Amino acid sequence: MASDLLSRVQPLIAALRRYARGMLRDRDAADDLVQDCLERVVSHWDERRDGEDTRQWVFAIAHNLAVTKLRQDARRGVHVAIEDVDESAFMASPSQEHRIRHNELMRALDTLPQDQRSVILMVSVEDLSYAEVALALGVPIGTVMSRLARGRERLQRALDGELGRMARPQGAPVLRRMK
Amino acid sequence: MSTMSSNTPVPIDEADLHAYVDNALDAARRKEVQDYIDRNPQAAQAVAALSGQRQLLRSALSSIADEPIPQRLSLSNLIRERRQQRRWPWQMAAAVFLSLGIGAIGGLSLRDRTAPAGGISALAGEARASYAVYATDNLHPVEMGPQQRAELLSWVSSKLNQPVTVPDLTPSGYRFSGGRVVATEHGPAAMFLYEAADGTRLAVVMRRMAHETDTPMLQHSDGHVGGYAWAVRGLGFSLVGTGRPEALHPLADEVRRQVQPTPSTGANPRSRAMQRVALLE
Repeated sequence: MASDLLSRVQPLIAALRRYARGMLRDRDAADDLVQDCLERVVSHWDERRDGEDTRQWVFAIAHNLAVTKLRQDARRGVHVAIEDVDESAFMASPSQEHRIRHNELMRALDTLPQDQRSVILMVSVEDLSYAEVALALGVPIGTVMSRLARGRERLQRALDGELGRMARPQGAPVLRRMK
Repeated sequence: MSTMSSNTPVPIDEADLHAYVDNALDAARRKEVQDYIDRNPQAAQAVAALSGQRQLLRSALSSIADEPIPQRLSLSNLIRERRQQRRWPWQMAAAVFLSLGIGAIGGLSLRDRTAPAGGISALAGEARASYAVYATDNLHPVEMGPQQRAELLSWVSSKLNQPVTVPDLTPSGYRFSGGRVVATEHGPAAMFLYEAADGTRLAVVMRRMAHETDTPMLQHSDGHVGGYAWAVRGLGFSLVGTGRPEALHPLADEVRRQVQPTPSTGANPRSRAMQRVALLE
């Protein structure tokens, strides 16, 4: 059991840290969340349903913890001011220009409601399928797709606002609903 | 945006463009969407924007996955900790006690933040603190040595308001080297010190318990000093040392066996529990 647990969850830890950081921004808070998540994974490993996808199950736990944490923070009025954000939380970008762009992106991401942010992160960065995200979040696939579309649209608008003309060579193509 | 060719069977909408960028389309649909994008510059622009955003997100966050994973997120450590927590059958016994509403068992884990003040978790901390101060003291670790055993016992018994004996750990290789009364936030405690031939020291600390008066044995540690703590009928015990938990556990078992209330002071705990169960039924 333990070797199974190890071989299936170990490869997910890096992705969990990345997802948690994307959701919470703060490095320590994100690692706290991942630790909490892993403890739950270890203690409930035997209670998984047969055939349940490990990645989707683990992400569901991480997501629920992130939502709880964000709600608590909102209730307590905890707010990470943009100036306070540890720049190194998103460091290691190859160049200064990239770093600025990445910081702007994270700022833009911060303006999204958490349900849109989590779907965007799971799909765009973690490569979960729409079906996996739907199961992890406990919502219908249609909801995942509409959150994704609304979230990306909003993110693009926020990015265009942040970046202005400078970073987008031939004017930012703005996404519009096609129907 | 309505320049859709008449031979496209299912109209292509925004969701298809997202799915195209996310590689979520089957081959046939992907081909249809590809054709549509090729014919429709606005759709092509939208796809380029979506895919650029996706790439930007990935590159902004990718470095996080390359960072070394901190020690506290080591899965094998977490699994090992979990196994140690699960090893003890007393957890099952405690669960039965809890479900029957017997005993004031406050929690099964020492990390339980809801444990009452002065309970077993506090005792464990006090025992570690006493160990850290006295067991490391080479000049004056004890107030009274083994020659003054009778005097020591009468002193600590009067402080604890309860007759106390010195557990004998000689067969396990630890010689009794004396003891003292120590102060805790929850009243006086007795500390007995033991020493092995190699100089390794152990302490057994006991005090009266206002909470968690009957508690199964729990492992505790602050990383350097650790051991086991439990309580029997209002008297709490903790064995602490610097050894590995596997080495300390049999010693704690031995102490517990020796300090078990004798039948002359009342029925043994199991039959008392049985009597209480009978009353509940």
